[in-house]
Amino acid sequence: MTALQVRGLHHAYGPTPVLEGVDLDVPAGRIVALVGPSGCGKTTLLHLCAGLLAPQQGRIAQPFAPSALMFQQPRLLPWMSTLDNIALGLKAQGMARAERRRHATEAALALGLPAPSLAQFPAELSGGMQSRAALARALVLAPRLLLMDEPFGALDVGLRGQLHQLLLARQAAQGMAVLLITHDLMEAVRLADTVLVMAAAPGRIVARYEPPGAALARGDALVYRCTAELQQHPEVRAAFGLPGPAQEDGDGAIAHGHWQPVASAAHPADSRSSC
Amino acid sequence: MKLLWRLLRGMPAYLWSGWGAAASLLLFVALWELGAGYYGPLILPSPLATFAALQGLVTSGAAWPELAVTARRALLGLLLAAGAGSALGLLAGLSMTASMMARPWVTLLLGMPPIAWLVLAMLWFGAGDGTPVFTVFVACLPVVFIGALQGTRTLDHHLKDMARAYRLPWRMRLLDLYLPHVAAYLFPAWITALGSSWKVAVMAELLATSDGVGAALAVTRSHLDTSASLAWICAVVGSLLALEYALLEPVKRELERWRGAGT
Amino acid sequence: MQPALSLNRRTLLCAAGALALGRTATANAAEPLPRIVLAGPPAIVSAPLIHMAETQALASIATRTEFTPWRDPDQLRVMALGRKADVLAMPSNVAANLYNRGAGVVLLNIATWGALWLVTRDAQRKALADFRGEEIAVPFRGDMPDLMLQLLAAKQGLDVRRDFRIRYVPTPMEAMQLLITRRVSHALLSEPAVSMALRKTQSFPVGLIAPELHRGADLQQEWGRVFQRAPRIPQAGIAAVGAVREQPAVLAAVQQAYARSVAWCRAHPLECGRMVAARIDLLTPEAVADAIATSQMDAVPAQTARADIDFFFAQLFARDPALLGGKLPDAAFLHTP
Repeated sequence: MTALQVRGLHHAYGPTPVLEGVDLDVPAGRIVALVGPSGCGKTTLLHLCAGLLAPQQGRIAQPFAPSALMFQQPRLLPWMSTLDNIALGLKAQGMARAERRRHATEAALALGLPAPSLAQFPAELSGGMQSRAALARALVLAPRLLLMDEPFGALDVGLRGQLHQLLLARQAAQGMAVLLITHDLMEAVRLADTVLVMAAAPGRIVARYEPPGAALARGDALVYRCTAELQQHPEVRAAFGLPGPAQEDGDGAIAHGHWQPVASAAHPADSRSSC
Repeated sequence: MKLLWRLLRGMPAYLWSGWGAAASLLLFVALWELGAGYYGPLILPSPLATFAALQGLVTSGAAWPELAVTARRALLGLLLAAGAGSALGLLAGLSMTASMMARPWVTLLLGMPPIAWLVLAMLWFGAGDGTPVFTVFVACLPVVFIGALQGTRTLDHHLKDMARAYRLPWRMRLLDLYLPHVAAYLFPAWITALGSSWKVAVMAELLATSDGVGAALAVTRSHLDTSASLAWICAVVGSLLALEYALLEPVKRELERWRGAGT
Repeated sequence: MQPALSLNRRTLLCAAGALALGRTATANAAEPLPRIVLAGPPAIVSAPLIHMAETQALASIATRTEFTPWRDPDQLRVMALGRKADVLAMPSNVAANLYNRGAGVVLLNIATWGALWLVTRDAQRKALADFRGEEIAVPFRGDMPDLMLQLLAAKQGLDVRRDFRIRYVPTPMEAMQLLITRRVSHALLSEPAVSMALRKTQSFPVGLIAPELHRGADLQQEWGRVFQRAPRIPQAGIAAVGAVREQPAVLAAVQQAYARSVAWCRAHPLECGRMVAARIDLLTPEAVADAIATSQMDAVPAQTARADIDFFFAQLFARDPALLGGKLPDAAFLHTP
């Protein structure tokens, strides 16, 4: 099975180590979420997987083509109309103008962008519309691997929910692999097949968590409960720098889904596992 | 088609906005009149005398050939400087080494007075077109170069990363990524260079050639004909204003439409 | 009582009469001016003025006599209008131009009667017609030397555009450079540039690389020949501006001192050259001395030179009225003593 494979990745900015001994797999058709505190190297890891940075030590095998990247900021070209921005990747591939505008329009409307906004400049759109345009720009390429860096941070809860459903539907229909970075545990639990918990300084993966069931089938109540459990786990709390779990909310055991700490040379695994 | 419609629609507003510029110019003429009254006609002729002289030059057919010659030299030098300066500035902006090496050169070129170049140019090119064109080229090149250099270096690196992530080919990077951003720096540089090109061309002609506005200015100067001298200067300034406001300003506004959006 | 009164009235009248006489006397034996400023271009016409300043020749009418140079027509105009100088040496056509433009200039005399030469590398060419088909470097386009060339050519039936290749250069320096670097073979120059060029190419180090230059055509001789007149061109003189125009005693003193200085300069060319070179650093003493010998210096009062001046101006006016400021100057232009 094809998969994005990262083995033994080390990366440093000058003397400061940013990533240490990172191993991860994103198989085809699966959604992997990376959660961790700000500054733990998630974005660096994503950029390495996208090929924007060269790995200093370790190996990255990225067999998916085409791949698309969605940044934390919309990063739309301010001097082009929204429609032309969405069609940017298609233009880079050499598609003809009428055809790429057609594809771009479809992608935009599918994400709920109002038709008049397509002729406007990005500066005239709201933050939420800009994020959706950036997502459309990525999705219109029909990528086999979608890399997303905190894509829905600027959206309100309702819009975020809508886009989650759209993303899941699209992913299911096209079978793309998704590597998603988020600092929102609930989003990770709702969307991902595998959640990787990262700790900071240096960035490393400390645990794997698989939420129960298929993502599309998870209801709200289940998602809330799993998120709560996750947030009370001592590893997670340690990674995010939160104080230890409150006693009355349980002992930090994970009742739903599959929890597995990740062993590394410097940080031996926690032997606690769950059902 | 849409572009043409947009231009036509914006025309009345653009022309109307000319009132402000016209008012400020008339204030200048009023101050000139004041000075003329104080100094007397031999030192500073009044605006009316100057415009009468200008009219005389135009109706006698003496004005257009000289203006055409000067315009040809100024625009040729400007085109060469704009082309070379923009291209070199763009390339230098892309490379850290090149931009570090280029900075002292630019300071050198900007600091050298055009008249120094003129002396060399007269030796190399003689009394023909070459001297003014070369001097204009050397005077305008650093201005355009710096504009292009600054523009290229200040492109948001987020957008550069996005371009890399979406694997934009080099032609798209140039036309869709760099040029629209750099244009905001290049346009003011080109407009400055345009003004410089006319000034430097007239100066070069004053000293080195036997045709063109500068040469005519030299003759009226030796004839102590101050109103004719000022008339020639008005002719040059008038053509420059016409070029800038009829041609460059509308183009600049069109290219900068995206900046005003969303405010 | 009666005799005392009449005595008093008589005394009063006598006293009044004496006072009046006294006032007139004072007016005639005028108070010396605090200073008188003489100005002139870097040309031979300034040499007597410099001599006058060096020897304080006008001590009778002015406490101090000063000389200050002017270099271009703008400077000249400022001096003429701004009361920065009293007596200015200038080309005759420039004086007429200033007069016609209301600068209040009065021409006192003509002092140099011809200083235009065609300098050439070819010693064989002696008349203007010998230069037919040749390229000639001409400084100061549209100015008097250029017009003279055109006049003389036209009068001989030559077309200055077709029969010569005129190459305009900004200043005599450029023309000299072109000659020295052999880019051009002939140039129209005025003294003292002619003498400067000849001296320079004969001296070290320029003499090593420069070609030999000669005085080719004497344009004064050409003028005399084609116009059937004496070979003299009323080229430059001195003019008065400002308040001194109203003081005939001052003007008379200036003219006399100038004439004396002209004679002295002609008798002592090298010392005169040293004096001039000390004030005007563009010139060398030897070149000035040569120029004095050939410039036909002769201080002729304006009224006496009137016929020559009128003819000269008429010719220039026919060629280009703008050179004289648009019209021929009227009689008040020439000083009447």
